[in-house]
Amino acid sequence: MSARREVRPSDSPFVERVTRVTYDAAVRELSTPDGTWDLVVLEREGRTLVLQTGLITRPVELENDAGDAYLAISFKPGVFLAKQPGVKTVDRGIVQPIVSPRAFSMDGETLEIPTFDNAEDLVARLARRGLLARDELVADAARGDVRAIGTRTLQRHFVHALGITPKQLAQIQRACRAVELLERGVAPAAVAIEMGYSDQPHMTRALKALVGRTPGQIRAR
Amino acid sequence: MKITPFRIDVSQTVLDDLRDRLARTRFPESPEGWSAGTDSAFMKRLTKHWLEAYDWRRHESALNAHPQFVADVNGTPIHFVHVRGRGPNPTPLLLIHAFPDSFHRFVGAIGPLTDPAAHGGDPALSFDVIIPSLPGFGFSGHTAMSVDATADTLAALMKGLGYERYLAGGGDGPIPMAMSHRHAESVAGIYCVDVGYPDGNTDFASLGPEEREFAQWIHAWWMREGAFNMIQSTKPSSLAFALNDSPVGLAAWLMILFASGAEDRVEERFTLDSLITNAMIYWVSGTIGSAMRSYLESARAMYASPAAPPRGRSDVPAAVARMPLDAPLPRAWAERRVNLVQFTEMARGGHHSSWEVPDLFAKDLRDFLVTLRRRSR
Repeated sequence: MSARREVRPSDSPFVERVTRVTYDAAVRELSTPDGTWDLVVLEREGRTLVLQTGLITRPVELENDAGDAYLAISFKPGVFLAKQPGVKTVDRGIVQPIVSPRAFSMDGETLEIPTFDNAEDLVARLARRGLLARDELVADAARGDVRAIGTRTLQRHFVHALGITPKQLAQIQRACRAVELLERGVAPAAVAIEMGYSDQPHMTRALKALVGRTPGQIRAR
Repeated sequence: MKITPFRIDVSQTVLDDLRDRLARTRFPESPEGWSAGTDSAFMKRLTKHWLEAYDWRRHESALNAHPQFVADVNGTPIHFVHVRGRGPNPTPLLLIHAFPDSFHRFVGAIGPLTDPAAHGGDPALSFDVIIPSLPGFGFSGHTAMSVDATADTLAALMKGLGYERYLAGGGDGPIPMAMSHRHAESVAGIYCVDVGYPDGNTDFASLGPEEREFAQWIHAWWMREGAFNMIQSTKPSSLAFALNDSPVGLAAWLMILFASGAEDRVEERFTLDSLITNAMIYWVSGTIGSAMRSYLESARAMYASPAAPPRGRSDVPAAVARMPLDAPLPRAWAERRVNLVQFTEMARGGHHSSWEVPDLFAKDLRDFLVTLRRRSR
């Protein structure tokens, strides 16, 4: 492997997971939709870049050189930046200005650049300063909790907080689970049935569009 | 094996008819309290709750949040919940319900079992869970089957899903024990809260003092509470007419075992809502008749070959949990019946541990996994 990847869960009510990746060689890889948005600290050629990347709805190709590294704080569905909600950031990355070797600026606040181990400190500061918002309706729906709610209302909440519709999120979540099962070696026909695709070609099309790979390519990894 | 996705979707006609029947219940003049069977005051409370507060559609949606399928297993439709574990290399776990419960008995444990990391457990100890409705029960085909035929059907389901080796159980002993005898090559371990009881095939002379006390307790229990078994093993149809026609009658009969041992705490142990949901699964599917008849099928299978030697000890590694509100199961009896590798004296809960204390239940299963992995090294 030319990349070392560490993922850890989080006990923060806002954070889904924290990921750190270090590249030992030049790698081109696809970043695929996973239903979360991230705050990313990117180390490239000795420079640090802080990005707020919105949800993506299609695969994005990333080019990395040896020595590059990034840290990603992925937020739970329903959590968003009050001034930069999902609707403004979907399929985009917003660069946050660096103000000193150890700090960056966001929404007029100066904040310490996070590390893999202290990511929750930054999140707690964002929450304390009122920069983080949480839409319970979206959080529950994304977890699969069922509520009697007009779908148009839910749609509006989703588009504001995440930038995508409930249906799009469900498709992304389903594709992610399908990839997990295919990587575990479950037969594509069985995965298609289990994930509720109408048939195997339907799953293949959906995975191509969202993940950029066919079931055969996913299994061959 | 043909598999089709399934969602519970009860027609409004069935729900309207149910409401009508509940509203027109003719309550019998039976004494209050549990001394003569199901308590009439309790049943009146449950019925009022069913009519005024219980929302089937909400529970139907909650059940439908779990992916469900129907597989054609040798001609019998078998309904099952199938949730994959999150974590490296999850272990397949077949969860087997019994009477008078349903697949619903396990839904509270799905989260802790499939996603331990989110419930304070180790992600390396996650399970793929497969929760069938037994043949003759709930949303499976209405074919009553004996314990052995059920064991064969569930083994065929697992094979059809591509699972070569798996753990089985989660509650009552008979079906997982039958699977361990008949499908030892597939069953890597069984997990039970009971392992059968002293009966006509038991060599009482060899029992230790604790086991003898247990045998006496069980004998008294059969005399005090066991009549349901005799009825269902001999004349289930005589009762099925009434229970398939009266939702309150059905719910009262199902209470037989839920109340056992701690009648005064039944509502806090199970909640009215979940007891009603369990009864609803029998009611909307119209399966109380075939469910009760499964006892008759087992009795027939047993008497069909009276000369057959009684089954010996099960050799598959077994974990047994002794529940404080269940029979006082001695470790020695468990060792006599199964290849015991783990015996847990649970802190809380009764016979339906996955329903009453799902987190403890899931933790005990994770411990079992650790025990099995240690043994196989």
